[in-house]
Amino acid sequence: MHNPLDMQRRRVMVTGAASGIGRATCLLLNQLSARVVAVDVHAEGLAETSRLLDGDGHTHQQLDLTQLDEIGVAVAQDVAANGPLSGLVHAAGLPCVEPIRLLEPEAYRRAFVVNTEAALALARAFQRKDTCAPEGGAIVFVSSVMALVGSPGSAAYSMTKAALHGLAKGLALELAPRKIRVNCVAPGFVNTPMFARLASFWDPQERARVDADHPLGIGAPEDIAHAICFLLAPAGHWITGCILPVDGGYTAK
Amino acid sequence: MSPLYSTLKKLLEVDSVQPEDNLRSFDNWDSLTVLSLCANLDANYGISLSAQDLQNVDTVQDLERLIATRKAA
Repeated sequence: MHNPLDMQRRRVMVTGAASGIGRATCLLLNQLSARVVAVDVHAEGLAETSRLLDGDGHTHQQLDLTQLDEIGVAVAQDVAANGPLSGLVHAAGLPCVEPIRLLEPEAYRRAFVVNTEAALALARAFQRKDTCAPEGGAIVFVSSVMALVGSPGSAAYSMTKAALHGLAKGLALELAPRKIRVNCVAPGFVNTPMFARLASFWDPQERARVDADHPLGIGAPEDIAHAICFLLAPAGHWITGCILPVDGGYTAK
Repeated sequence: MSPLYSTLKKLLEVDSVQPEDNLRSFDNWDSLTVLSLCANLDANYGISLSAQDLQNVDTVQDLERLIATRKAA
């Protein structure tokens, strides 16, 4: 029976693989029979994700995405050793909670480099003819509902994530002739280490407000992984340039 | 000047911050400022404070004491 979510024999690179949405995506891809290239700067979490992956053919790379020049080299090395890639997921991200009065360049540039510029560098490396599988492939950038709606203190974070939407739409058209699809998943608040850190600053009233903003409740990393894998898999083969909110109803208002 | 005072001056948009200043007396002391201060202390100093922790803080000096306590813990 044809399974439109089958990822067998496809190699997919996932950044932010050490925890949260990135790790959940690696594990779901594994269940769908893909071979995972797990990438993160955090060695300990990366090793744990690798340990959780069943079967062979998975690889991992410790990579600091702030070093943009190293991204293309790392992707090329992986492909030379293990074969072409069919998918790329950029789930790595840094938060930036600052009101504009604190937003000096050094306050937001690190987030912009990891969230946005690294996405471009990864896509640039992925689309190379000797890197992307000859039958084509799919790129998914993990953006945020903060790219679709505003929130006080989130201007810089929203900027980094909204830029991903423009990047995805432009690349979707540019790479369509080569059967490379490019989409974004825009998560609401999801129970990840990044969320736990942010939520630790809140008082009970703020936490109640955030909960109320999600009619279906706060999400799980697996909720986002499901959408990412749908877009990567054959099931999503006619979807490109799409921004898919996966947010428990956050942006339905 | 300590980095905390520098951060407070930017957050509160004032030219000077003194140990005895009451944080709630500043026009900019609101929930976003509190959240930003917590995030800033966490990102730059590895000190984890919540908005609720800051409810019991009145002066800049109180805040310094709380930070010192957390650092020592």
